[in-house]
Amino acid sequence: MRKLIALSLLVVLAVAACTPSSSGTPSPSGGGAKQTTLRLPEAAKIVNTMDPGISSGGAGLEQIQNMFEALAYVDQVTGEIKPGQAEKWTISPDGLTYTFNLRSGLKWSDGQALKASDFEYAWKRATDPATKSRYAQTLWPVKGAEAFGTGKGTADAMSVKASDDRTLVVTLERPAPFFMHLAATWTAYPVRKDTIDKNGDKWTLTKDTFISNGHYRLVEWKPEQSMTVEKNPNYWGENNGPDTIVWTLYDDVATKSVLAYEAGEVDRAVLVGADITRAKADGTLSKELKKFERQGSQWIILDTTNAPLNNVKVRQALSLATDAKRLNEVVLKDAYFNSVSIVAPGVPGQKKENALGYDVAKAKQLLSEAGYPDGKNWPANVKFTFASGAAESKAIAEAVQGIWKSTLGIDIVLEPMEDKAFDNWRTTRKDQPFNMYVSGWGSDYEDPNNWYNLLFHSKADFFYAHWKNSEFDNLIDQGLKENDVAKRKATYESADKIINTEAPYITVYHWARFDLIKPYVEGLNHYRVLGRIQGYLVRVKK
Amino acid sequence: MTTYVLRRLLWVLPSLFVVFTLTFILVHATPGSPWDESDKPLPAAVKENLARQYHLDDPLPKQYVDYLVNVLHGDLGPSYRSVERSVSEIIGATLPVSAQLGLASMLFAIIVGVPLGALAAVKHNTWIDYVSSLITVTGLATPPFVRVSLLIVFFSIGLGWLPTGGWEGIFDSRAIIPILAIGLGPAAILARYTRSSLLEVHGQDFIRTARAKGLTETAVVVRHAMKNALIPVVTVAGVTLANVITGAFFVERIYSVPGIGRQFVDSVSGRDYPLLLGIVLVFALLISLVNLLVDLSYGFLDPRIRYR
Amino acid sequence: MSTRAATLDAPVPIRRPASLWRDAWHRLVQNRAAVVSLVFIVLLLFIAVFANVVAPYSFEQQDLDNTDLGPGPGHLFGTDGLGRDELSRLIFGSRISLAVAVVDVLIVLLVGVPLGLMAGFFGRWLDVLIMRAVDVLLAFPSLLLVIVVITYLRAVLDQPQGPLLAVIGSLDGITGGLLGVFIALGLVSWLTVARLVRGQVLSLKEKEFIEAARMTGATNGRIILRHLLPNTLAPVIVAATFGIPGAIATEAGLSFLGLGVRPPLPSWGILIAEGVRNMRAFPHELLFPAVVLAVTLICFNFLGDGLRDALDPKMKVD
Repeated sequence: MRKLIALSLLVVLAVAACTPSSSGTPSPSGGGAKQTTLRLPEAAKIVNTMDPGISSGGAGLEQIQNMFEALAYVDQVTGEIKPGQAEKWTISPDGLTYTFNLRSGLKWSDGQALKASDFEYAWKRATDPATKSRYAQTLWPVKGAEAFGTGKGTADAMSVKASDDRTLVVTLERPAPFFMHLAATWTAYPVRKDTIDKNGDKWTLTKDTFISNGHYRLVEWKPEQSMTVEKNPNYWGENNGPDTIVWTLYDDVATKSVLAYEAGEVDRAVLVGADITRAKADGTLSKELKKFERQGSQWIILDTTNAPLNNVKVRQALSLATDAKRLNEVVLKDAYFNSVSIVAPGVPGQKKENALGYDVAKAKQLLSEAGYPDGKNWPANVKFTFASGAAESKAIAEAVQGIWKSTLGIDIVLEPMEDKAFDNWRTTRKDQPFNMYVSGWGSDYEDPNNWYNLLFHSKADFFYAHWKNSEFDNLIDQGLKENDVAKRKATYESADKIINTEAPYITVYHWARFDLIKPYVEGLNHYRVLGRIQGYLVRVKK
Repeated sequence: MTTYVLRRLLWVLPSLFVVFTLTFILVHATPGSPWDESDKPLPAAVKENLARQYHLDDPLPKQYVDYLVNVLHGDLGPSYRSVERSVSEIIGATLPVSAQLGLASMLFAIIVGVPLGALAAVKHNTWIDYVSSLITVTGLATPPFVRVSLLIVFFSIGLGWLPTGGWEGIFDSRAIIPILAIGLGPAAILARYTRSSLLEVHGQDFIRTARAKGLTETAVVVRHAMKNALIPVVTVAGVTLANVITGAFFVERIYSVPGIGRQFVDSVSGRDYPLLLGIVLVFALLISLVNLLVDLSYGFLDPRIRYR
Repeated sequence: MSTRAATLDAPVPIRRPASLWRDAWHRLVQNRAAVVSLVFIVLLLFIAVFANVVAPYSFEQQDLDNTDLGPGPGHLFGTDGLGRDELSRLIFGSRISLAVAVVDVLIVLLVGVPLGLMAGFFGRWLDVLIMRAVDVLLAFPSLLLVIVVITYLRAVLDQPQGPLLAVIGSLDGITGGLLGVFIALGLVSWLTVARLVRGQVLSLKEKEFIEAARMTGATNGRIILRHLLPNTLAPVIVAATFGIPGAIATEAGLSFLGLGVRPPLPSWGILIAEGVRNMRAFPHELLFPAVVLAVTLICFNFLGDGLRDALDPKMKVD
């Protein structure tokens, strides 16, 4: 017995001794003034790379955005494109050539000069198939990029060139009015060739090798645990934000960040579900709540070529019977915004009046006209598929099943799938039938192209609803080329009416962010597109 | 004795091989690609490129052989989802954490569970026995994810004594809740096995002899009964230890401990094949070794048992 | 009372023949905790079987005007996020937990025992084969094996199906999506019992009564069934009873991960998982399922304790 204990103790001590001790909290650089730190939560599971050229823009984006800057950036209040590393740019009359002039005296976080060739290197690297970028297609509008990215061309044929240290010339395949948005995305951030050559995949791991050009630079990254950044003294502009930002990673960020927030360990919490109800009822917390709009829609996607949903009246009936208000406010505890229409509000072309709305009587009538009065003759085994790991999807599925049964008298079968299996199943729906599933989309940039053309064009059919409407297609093809802003908007609005009437999608809610923010933190904002926190805009008054 | 150990060690290799092959087949037969992400769907061209770069479009037998050859050279491959760290690095960083946590939890379980069980056995069928049974079974009756959540709410939010998560080494206050959450279950199991095997031993002849010699009850228990009673206890401890290290992932996940259990679950759902295979191999090796240690310890505890 | 020695004339009081089972039952009944536990378990079985009658509401009936209510009139245990009655969901959920328990016991008895018997009795290559298989499967951490099997099964069944998969798919449907859990449990729960039984058989094999049986011409089958089996049953029953809490807890954990039963079917695991999420806002949603689960596990443990005490012929009853 004693031997067992002694042996165990020895082993524990031995293992503990062999493990390198974790470094303590790093001290931020700076002078004698009080150091301010902003502590934020982040979701752990998905942060897998800090390399801007590789990142898919889901996880790690907030950190990357704080540490890098592109030629231009999107103002987080107005949505305008503003000059970043480039002080100005000119577009040729045919819309094909962009000439960027970089500011003078630009430096990397280690003090070395930043040149236009760094951008050329970064853009070509991201497009190179060998880099394994998860978001390479962003730069494909550049001439020669798609060929290079699909292995059919060379890097040299890609039309991005540093004509001198401060000038970058980019030529596009065809005019794209939204190109500046793409130039502002993370894939277009510059990266340093020498640290990548020297350290390979590991260049993002330590502060000496992670060289960036943004408001902040890396202090320490403990994978799956935390990331700390400090103000970058070599950034060209002003930074009145906190001296240090620390992100703590949590697996279940919604539940854990609230616990950490209440224990005083983080300055912001992500709220979903029952925590929202509790916060609203709590004396202190209710004053620290803040809800932010996020330009996105969550839908039930319908296969428009498969019975019974191939009948437009059936689709309309289902849409009209879906009580969007109840769904969001009761079932989802008001974590989001009530559904308005298929495309999210704010996207040019979206018009509230085009939506079908909520009308149970009309729904019943339409269903009856379609041949299923009060649910009679409704086929068995109409399946509602969703990923079992997504708590929201499950709540929606169960609620909708109940609502449609009680109002329309129809039965649907819930089909939860294991997450990856669901992703795989979804991908195979391209040419396979289904009934319905849940998915959504959030703007990458605020432009109708990022919605109507990218997702709903019958050739794109991003969500495989198998919906084809030639009038719709024509309208949005036209809209893509239209330069006049007002005309463009009107064209897309007509298209918007068509898709809402045809109802290939039923909007369940519009995306949102619901935060708890400590009262001593000011300026913490989530812009409605992408919405990551820009640290330099925040003030920590503690 | 040495031949026995050698023979056992030799059996480890084919076991590992079978485990590896089974996992490989099962995992590649499971539909789903590592790069489908429902929150950020990737275009087909990007996914194809990734598959090509990681050799996932090679025929399966070739992938199998390539992987084996690499393993024999000590290279466990890249992780699909983590660009910066290879499988060996991930395992190297997370295994010690889980090992420390697991060992500490087992220590806690032994220190708390065995004496509790012994007490219950000695005071058999009295109220002490029932109360300690109740305590130990409560440790068994709550699933680990419930336990850890309750502990966090009670100690971190309610009392404010402990942090809500993280890891700073085994001697830091952040290890307390994980150890409790993980260790209470095995503590309960050990307590009950100690109690029942002590009771069994109690009735045997050599105990009566010891009592007849006039030894106190405590001396009887500690010096004579315990050693023999410990055999089934050690068996259970061994099995539980392996399970503790690998199964602690609920606690790892909820309490944000960078351990290896979490990596396993994420690699299964994320189809991160190399990471999954690497972890499975490591686990299988670990469990085989622990079993061997347990079997060898029988020799210390019961001199009648000898290995040929 | 006469103190004279009994003579051939005096009647000898006749006692009922002693048997292991009767003595065991006697001892069990004296263990109060075990008796209470047994009663509770029988009650639970009854409730599970007659859930349709016992439960006040259906388990899927939603009421979006009355969500997340605490215990009160009309809803003894309150309602959940969709307004469904918690008590009814608990009652129907008991079916799943008990089904898991039953399957676990069946596998232990129908797979573990025979394999252990054969391995121990026949020895040689059969023993080596079975025991090595046990070793390999034991090398797999059980919960993780379960996750891999379930993920595989779920993913495979969610694809376009051939005839074989269609059959498996409908089985899965009948079991409420738990087929994977059953299979995985099946792979794991017989291992320890097989080892136990084999060990018992090995030590019993050499005992005199076996030799005696052989000398009277008993066949192998007869020896196994009538002589070895009854003597190994005691530890098997105990192991089975102890394995049940583990199986139920495993289902709870899997439901927590989203790999358990398919909605809207309730299981205690799903109720607890949802309860943990809403723990601070609506504690009743965690409290009731967690307590019910805990009490059930405790009862199985006490019952197992009682059985072990009762079936152990060497135990002295004070």
